Amino acid sequence: MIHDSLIRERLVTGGKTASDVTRDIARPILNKPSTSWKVGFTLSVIFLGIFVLSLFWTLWTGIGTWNINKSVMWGWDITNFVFWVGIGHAGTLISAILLLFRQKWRMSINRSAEAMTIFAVICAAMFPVFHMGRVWVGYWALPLPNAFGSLWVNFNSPLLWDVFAISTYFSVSLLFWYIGLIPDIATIRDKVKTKAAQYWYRFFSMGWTGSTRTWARYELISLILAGLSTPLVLSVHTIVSTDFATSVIPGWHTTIFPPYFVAGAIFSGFGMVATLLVVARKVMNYENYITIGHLEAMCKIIMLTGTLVGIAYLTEFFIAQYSGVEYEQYAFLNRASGPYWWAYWSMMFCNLVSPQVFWFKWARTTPWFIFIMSIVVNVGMWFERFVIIVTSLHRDYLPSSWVMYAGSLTEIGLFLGTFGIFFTCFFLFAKFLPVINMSEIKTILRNRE
Amino acid sequence: MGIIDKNLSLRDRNKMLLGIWEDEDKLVEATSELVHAGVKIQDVYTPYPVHGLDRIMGVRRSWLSIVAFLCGMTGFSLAFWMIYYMYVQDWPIDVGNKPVRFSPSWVPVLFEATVLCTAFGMAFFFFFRNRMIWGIKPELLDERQTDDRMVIAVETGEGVDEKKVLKIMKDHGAVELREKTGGVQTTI
Amino acid sequence: MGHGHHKIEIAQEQFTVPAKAKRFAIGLTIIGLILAGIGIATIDKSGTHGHQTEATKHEHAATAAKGGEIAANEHAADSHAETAEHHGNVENKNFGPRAEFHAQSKPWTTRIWSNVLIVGYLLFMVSLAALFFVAVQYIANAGWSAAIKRVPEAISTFFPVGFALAFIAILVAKNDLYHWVHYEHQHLTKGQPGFDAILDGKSWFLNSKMFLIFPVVLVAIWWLLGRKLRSLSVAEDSAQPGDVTFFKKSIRYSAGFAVIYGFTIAVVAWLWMMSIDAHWFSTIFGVYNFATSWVTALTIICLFVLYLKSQGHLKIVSDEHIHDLGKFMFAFSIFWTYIWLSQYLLIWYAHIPEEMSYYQIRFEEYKFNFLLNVVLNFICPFLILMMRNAKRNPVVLTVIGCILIFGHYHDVWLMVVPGVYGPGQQIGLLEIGTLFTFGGIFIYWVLNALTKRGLVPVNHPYIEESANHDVGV
Repeated sequence: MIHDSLIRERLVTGGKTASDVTRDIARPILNKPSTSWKVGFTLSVIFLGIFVLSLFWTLWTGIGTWNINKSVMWGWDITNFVFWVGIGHAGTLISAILLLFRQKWRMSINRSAEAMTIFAVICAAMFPVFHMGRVWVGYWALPLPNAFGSLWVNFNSPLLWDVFAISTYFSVSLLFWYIGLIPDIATIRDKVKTKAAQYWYRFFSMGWTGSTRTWARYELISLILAGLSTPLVLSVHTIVSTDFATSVIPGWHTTIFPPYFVAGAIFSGFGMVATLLVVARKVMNYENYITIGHLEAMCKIIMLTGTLVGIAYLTEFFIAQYSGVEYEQYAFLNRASGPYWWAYWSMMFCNLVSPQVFWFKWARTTPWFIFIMSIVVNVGMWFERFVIIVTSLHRDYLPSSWVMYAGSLTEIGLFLGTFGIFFTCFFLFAKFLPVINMSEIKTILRNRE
Repeated sequence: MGIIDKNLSLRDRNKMLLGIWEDEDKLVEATSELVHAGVKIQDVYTPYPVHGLDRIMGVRRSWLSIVAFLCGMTGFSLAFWMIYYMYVQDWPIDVGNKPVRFSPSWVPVLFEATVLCTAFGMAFFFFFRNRMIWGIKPELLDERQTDDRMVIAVETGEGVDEKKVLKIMKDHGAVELREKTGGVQTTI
Repeated sequence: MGHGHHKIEIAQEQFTVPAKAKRFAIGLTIIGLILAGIGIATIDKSGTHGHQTEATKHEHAATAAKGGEIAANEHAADSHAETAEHHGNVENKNFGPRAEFHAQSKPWTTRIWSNVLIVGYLLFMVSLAALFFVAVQYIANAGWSAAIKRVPEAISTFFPVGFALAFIAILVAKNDLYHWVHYEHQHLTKGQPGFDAILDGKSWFLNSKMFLIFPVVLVAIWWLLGRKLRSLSVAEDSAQPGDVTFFKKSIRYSAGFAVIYGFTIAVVAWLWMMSIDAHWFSTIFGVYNFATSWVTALTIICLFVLYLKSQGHLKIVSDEHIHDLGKFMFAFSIFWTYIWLSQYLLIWYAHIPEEMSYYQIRFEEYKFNFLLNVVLNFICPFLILMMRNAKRNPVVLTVIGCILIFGHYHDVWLMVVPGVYGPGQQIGLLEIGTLFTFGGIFIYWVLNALTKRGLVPVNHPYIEESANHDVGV
């Protein structure tokens, strides 16, 4: 029995039954790809091509093709890394933290958000890996005995923590996603007609039959995995933030970085989820599953996390002035009024000011507007990382090293190219796997009987 | 107790009585009615988790949380030993005058390794216990049991009053009754 | 489930404070007063605190906060694995410019006032966090908590009292509690001996006007919003069933309160707590204070619910709600640890002198307390509340709850005392006595506030959901 209050909005509209759910959500998998899918996929592959070309150029010529031969040695590269890792955080937030908080609206969007997590982490990983320069010895970052004696990795380095954090996050997210997918893969297995499809869906469904004994364990493992993923997702962006905050660089070394980065990550992640789902619900006809109510809830979270990030900006600025440390004071004044003032104020506008529009119900319930806002949020969060990295590095302790920095064509190509990786993966996912968690959605259909 | 849950396999069972439902509430009613009547239910198959059904059937709470804890302890110990061996014992590196002995620097790696071991250890236990492995053939009783239909399966044998079972099933909204002998199902 | 799902009756309940509870609260206060009295009788009233004077003779305040360097050298020594840890003797220690402040003669009553500040601040922050809890439930559209919401509402009535306690302590003893107030009163200008450029540079924020007026303004705003939320809640009881106007209004006021609280709570923490170590600064400090008060508030809510339940009240609250409160205590203890570690790890790692001084004194002179803080507030709740059954067991929850309350009291104590006195203080009878005294008053106050209205928000739109709450797995 479900005792949902009558004033709660329905999470699935249109009077859907369990078999409707299966039919609607399995449709893209069972049918031939639609035209919009083909167009989108082709575009994504073109961007993927840009990535491959830029990467080829980087490897052929060397990291010198990036404009980082100066004190701004992190440049676009680490900006993009942090940007993508951040985007990855919404998936785990939705699937884990909202599961712990029993927010049922999560059920329509968790599958695609988790998929996004995995693809975004793949995109993110590209940047530090190729920033190493000699990428073929990248395994030196792992705790393996190296060839020149038993010299091990440096456990005091936040960069090593990153290796552990990102790889753990990727593997555990993949596991969580896969376990969640198994019942749905089984549903697809029992619907597909072609031999090859039957073979592969059967292969990955691991013999799932829907026995109550397995369901009981399934629900428990989902809960425990959610409990594990929650501190995990916090730890990942915390550790990314320690790449900056453990240093003694003005503007980077500040104790609020861990929670502030996490809030920013969730903010940008929700921005990306909103971008994708506003389009997907329209194109794939999922308006009964991803309702206006879902969009509204997402907007509220965007507003909340945007405001949290804004509080962190103001706190940083305030404490820098309060600290009495002139380097800190200079770093922050330089951000706001130095040569990169436009980046700083773009960040402030996109992340703190613009989400406040979601106080108005109209803004939260109008899909095209939410789409525009989600792009604004993505831009703002990219600028945040740009501001943190570039403004702090372009003013070295040694004034003769002061420089200006702009990304080279290769760097821009790599960044645009990762959108190719991301969307190629996403389109393949939308074609071969159910985009909405069918078995969970079926549990909330009868909430008003 | 072996790790694999033997209740899950349907091979080599006696004749089985199957009831098919389309309504969750009626299924729950029928299950609890059968349990009250003293019938041992082999299993109930549902396309989505039906809340409380496992408690009605009397399925014991899984040991997963204990396994998770043990895996976590193992992961923590292994990671601690790894860092200690590599960083303190074998080749201490002095970078920026940071201590090589235990320090807050160890916490991130210890944490990540603990989570990794817990998640994967628990997942492997989950797969083994549920007899799940890539490529295994599913033992389906109804082709729509992963879509919108639900199945109660009761194994016949000594002390099982078949008529009574079928009557309870029928009275509580079963849309179809079948019996299964070996691999063959016949509608009753 | 399934068989015989009976409808749960939702009836109003009226709470009257049992004589036993009254005796307990008053008794706690009296025991507290006695303990504090013994504590006062036995403290050294001669004036200066002899312990650290030796330490400070060697270094003059004008050398500025260079304390971290010593620790840096020490770590260098430690990094040779074989080298035994040799902690230098006290003579070599210098805790920055505060050393002079620590060494200066303070009246013995300062210790009383610092205790009032600690307990008052804790209870103020906790009661305010309880109000934030109410607001969060509205904003998040939470159903499960409707049945217990009168408890945090009652707790939230105490925050002006906690505030007043801390405020009085500050008014009376700010010159001895706060280094920078002491400095401000000297009116030094550049070039004069003892001039402190850092404190001087902070005078735009750290000044007596800001210090006293700003928190009062904030408290007035919070109090008005809190009163409005409570009156909406009680007006709902006598409304037509199904009338959601009060509920909708509550959501708006909650959102307003949450935004104001979010933007301003850190300011109080900076003004009243962070400024004790006036040279020191940490951007996460506001979050840290919030984490401390939030987990303590959840604990206290849980304990009051358990008490009401044991008295046969809150009939619709079941083990499921208790379980969820236990989960909250567990989860936010980890959250507190996360914030605690973030601050400590970053400051320890960067090892910048002006930041290190805060932890240097706490780690080297208060090592036991520093580690006890983690044991009480992380290890105990983490290991015990990890178990499902522990979260459903009133006895275990009560024990862990008391540990957590003491733990977070101890946390605030550790924020205040080393900054005020320098090395050499311990928690004694006076500290325990003060905690008991005000704890007793707090309990009495909250129990009394619970009698002021029905215990069950009978017309809350989610009350039925709450009554049927089930944690699921």
